Amino acid sequence: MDQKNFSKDFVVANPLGIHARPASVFVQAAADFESEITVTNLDSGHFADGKSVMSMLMLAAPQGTRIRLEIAGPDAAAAMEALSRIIEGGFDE
Amino acid sequence: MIEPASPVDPLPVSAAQSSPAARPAEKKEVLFHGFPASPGICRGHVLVFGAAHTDFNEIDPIPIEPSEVEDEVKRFQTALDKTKIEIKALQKKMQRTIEKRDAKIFDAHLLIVEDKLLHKEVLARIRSQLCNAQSSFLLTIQRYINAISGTNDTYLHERAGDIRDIANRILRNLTGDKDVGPTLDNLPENTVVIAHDLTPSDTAMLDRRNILGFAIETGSRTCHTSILARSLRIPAVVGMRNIAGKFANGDEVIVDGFLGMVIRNPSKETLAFYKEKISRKDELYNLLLKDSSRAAETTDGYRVKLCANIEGAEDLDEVFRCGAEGIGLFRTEYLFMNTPTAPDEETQFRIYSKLLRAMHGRSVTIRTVDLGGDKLDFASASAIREPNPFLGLRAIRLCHEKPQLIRTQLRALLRAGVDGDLRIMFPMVSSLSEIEELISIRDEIIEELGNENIPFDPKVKIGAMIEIPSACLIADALAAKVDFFSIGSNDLVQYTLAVDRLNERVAYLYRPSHPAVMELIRLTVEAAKKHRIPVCVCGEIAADPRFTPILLGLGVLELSMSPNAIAEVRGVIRKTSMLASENLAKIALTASDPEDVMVMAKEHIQAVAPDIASILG
Repeated sequence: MDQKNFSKDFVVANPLGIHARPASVFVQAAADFESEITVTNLDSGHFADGKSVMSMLMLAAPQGTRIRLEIAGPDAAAAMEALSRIIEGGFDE
Repeated sequence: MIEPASPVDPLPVSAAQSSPAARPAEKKEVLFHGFPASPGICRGHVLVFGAAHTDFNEIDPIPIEPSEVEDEVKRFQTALDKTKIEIKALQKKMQRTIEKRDAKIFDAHLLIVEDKLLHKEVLARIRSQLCNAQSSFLLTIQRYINAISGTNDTYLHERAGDIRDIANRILRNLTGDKDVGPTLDNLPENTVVIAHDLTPSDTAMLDRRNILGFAIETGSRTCHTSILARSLRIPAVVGMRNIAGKFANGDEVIVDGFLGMVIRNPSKETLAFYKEKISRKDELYNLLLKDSSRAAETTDGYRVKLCANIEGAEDLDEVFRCGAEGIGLFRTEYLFMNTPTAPDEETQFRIYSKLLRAMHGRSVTIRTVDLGGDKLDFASASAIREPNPFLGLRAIRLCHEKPQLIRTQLRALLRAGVDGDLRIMFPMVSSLSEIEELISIRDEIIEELGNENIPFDPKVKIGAMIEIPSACLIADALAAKVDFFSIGSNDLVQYTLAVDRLNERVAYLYRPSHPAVMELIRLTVEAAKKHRIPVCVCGEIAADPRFTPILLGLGVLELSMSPNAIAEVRGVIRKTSMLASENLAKIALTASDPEDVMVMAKEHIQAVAPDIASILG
């Protein structure tokens, strides 16, 4: 399961960055998938478990941060599609 | 006017990033400037919301015996369960006052409490490091807060406040200690909240008993924090750049909402100066309250009816204390929010009937539910997210899609009508056919209730809320059909000027004194007079003493406002003549700049009631 099936880079677009509310929007969506979801802050090198809100918060990613979304597992394609939409949509903010 | 002891120090941006600990230790008076957003003066102790600060900095692990491990684990679980219940209750309470999007913060809080990593780390500390539940939790949360505060981003610093809030809540449940740390809904006495920004959910949560004032870095006169502060009648200063980092919890401050200043560690002289100012204000308010049994009558004998806007029966004490002559606006939205099903007829009937009986024959205007389809939770499965909800399917427009909603409410209202002087108000009227349709629904219900032999009052008055410009322009036709008008000025201003006042970028265009708004009010009053029906104004301008003479001059002789504004408005009426009011109205109708109108209105108050002018913004 270590092998990442999908990987895509983004820039955090919402003005407030990844704080509690966007993190929870992301985590709630991530919870619907079986796949392993990892988010990396490319500016700091920290990575987070996409299914833990605390872990996501630890990314400390303000607006403009480059992040990488990596997803591995049986439903990775669908997860990538859904989660990309959330990040690109500014976390519904 | 005021000469505080020390000059303003416009600190460079970099200084704002320094921690409170880096601040000089001596308690020197420092003055900070912003924009006045809500008038008043208060003196209290600071709670910095959202800044990285000392609460979680020095934590000593408290050791336990191996035999105590399971008890500590259990204690932690119990605290989390309790916290979850609290958040869910808070979420339920808040959903009626804030937008769905903002209510999401509670989902975030719940996710934090349920977070697997957090659990794992705390349990590991308890089990392998033999620390008690509380210190294990604190050490864990400290790591998270430090990580977030490590960035140089103000916004993220700010939002660390969410984590601190939730951490304090868990801690409180863990220790049973109420004073363990403040949460926004549980503030220490005499608190002044200082923050970068407060979201609508933050402000909705605020512990209103203990908050004395606000100072925020962002915001404008029309941001939600300012609006809330004015409705609570507490001072607020907004647009204070880079101040949050310069205050620590517990700092003594004065917030001057007249001049838009915050003074940290006020000197003896400053304190004495403000003490006098505050006591004068309290004195005046108490003096004005003494007049609460007196008629609101102009110096040349025109009587004005002053009513109260309320949301629930719990506000009634205040209504009586301020001497309101009736309820001018009872909002029914909260009855419909956050329930799995719409409240049934019996439930609504009991609420309306109780309110009417409590008012002992004084008029009570109840507005039918004024919500968008998306806010009605029981309809949420089919809810369509509208791109423009303020121009969408809401209020009486729902009577086609959800006819049962309005029918049930009307049945309950007509039945309750036997218990007092009830007026039913329909919001969002934009055309004559809507009123005609509502009247025919009412007539059907009258027949139904008659056939069912249920007691009701067929003569309950019905009225149109005038808040859409089209309604003003056809007011003559509408007035022929209804028993009264009520002008909802907040929406009328928004719809007339096409300005969303919560949108900071255009908020400067939100001008209730705009001559177009004045003209629409004039047209409405003219139509009402012609058809001999009463007309009331129930928006924010009804509560603003500066607008009182202008409205009187336009012919409005009924005003409804939050109960705590009545004393001042009555005070102004008792000092003003109708003659002067009519002149002011004439100028307002033709002014080229809405700002000129406000200056003129303020000058008038200054001339006739200088004491009241001194406590206005």
